[in-house]
Amino acid sequence: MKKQLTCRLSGWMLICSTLFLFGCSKEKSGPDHEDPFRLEANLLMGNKLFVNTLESRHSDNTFEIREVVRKNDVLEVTVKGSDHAGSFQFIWDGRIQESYPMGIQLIMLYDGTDEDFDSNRAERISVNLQKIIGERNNVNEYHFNVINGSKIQTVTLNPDGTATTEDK
Amino acid sequence: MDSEEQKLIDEIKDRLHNFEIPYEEGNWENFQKLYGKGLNEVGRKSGKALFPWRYVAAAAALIGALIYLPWHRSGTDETRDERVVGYSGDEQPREMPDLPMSDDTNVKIEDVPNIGDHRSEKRTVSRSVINKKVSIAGVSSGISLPQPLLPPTSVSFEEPAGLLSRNDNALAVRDQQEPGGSPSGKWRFGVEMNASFRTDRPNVAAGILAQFDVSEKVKLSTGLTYSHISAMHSTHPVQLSYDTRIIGGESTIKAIDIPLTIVYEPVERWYASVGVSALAVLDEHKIYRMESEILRESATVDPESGASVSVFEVVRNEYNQESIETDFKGRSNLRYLNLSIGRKQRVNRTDLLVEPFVKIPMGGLQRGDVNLLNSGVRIKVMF
Repeated sequence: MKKQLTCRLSGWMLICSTLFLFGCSKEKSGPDHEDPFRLEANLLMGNKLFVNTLESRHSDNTFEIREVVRKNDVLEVTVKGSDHAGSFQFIWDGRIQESYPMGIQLIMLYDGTDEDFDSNRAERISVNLQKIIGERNNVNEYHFNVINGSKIQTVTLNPDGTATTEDK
Repeated sequence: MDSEEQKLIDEIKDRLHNFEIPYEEGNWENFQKLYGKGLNEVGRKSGKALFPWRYVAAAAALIGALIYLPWHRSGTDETRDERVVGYSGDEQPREMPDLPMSDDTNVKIEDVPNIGDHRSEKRTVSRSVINKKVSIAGVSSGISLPQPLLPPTSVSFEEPAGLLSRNDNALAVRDQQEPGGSPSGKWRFGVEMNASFRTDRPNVAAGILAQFDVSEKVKLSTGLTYSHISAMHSTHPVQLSYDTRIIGGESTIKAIDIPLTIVYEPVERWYASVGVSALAVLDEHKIYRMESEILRESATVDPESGASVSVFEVVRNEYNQESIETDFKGRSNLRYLNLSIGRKQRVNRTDLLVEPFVKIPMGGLQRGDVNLLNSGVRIKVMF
């Protein structure tokens, strides 16, 4: 009887010790390093996110990119189909092509609620590219490719200020 | 001649005896002005001298009483002047007869003459005491008290020699401690050390402890432990700027831990304990773990198109920043709930105790963002 009790207590002690040792493991904290990096309030950098979004460009809240203009470091995109707040996000893949045709590419995504989306509402959305362009002084030679995240459409702002729309 | 001188002396005495200077107004005030200050100082000095001694004496008396009382309380229960019987040589001790007397019976016992001290005394003798057999060196043989000799009420052994010394016995009287001993024997002292891990730095503690055996299975333990505790702050990341954020924190506390624990030992060498401990934080060092993210640009060539490409990547840098504020230093109501189980191993005259423990923060230590819960293994050595 006493032996049985001793064995039982030993077992409990072993279990408790194991639990204590697990309890002693070092805590992990900190962000996931695969997270996209936010450059601006409406500009994210993330290569994986960019690739994934590019492969799934179909949305119920379809909008259309009408116009793309650049004013210094700020890119202005006029869309048809938006909510009143202009809830859009731009995703950059983190790459700048430095040889011809030089430029960057961004995916534009609607980030608002379905209820607020108005397909006939036109909005001008601005995104600051200063953190991408940085100290480059030849930015006038760059192409800015804005890819529609809701459907197959890419609008390219050419160095001469004109915009080209392609179904790609 | 002698009588004339005596007359003269008597006359002078009489005159001086009746001599009186009339009091003039203001004399007392003048006297006070001249000597009053000095008189006051003397009075004050004597008061000052008495003041501390009175308190010192009172404190000494109080401390003396406090020290004395616990060590001598309930002496009638635990230490008895027992009348015991010894057995000598090869003679086997015999069981005492089951005496038909109540547990506590007044028995008048007259010592045997061959002890040499023929005195009569009245004592309280319990059944358990009579049944006890104790060997004493120098006592020649043993006795057994026949049942009829001890009636259930008070008995007077007026002629004990014939009864008690028939085996050439001697009665011995000595102070004997009951199992467990006197309160001083119930105290045990020791040292302890424990270690646990919550961060990359171990929590260590070392101290002294005292244990009081309330009973065979229940013990009270207290002590004084110096603890070095590291705790993580489990906070959500806080963005300070676009490239910098707080991702956590860590507090390192140096504290004095005063535990009060009840130890229950249901079976030999195995025990469990539960208790609380008060924590006095001596020093606290708090740091924030910061993370900064910067964009690093590198030039590469696209393997598919052969185009020259600048690739941006985020370089994350973690560093610690010291905090000016502290969470626990100077705060009261800091407590731990202590739970442990353990095993005791006797090594020579020393007990070595190994016990896994868990310390659960309570009161002011129970903070959502600072996790002070810790567990590990404690090693104690009790002398």
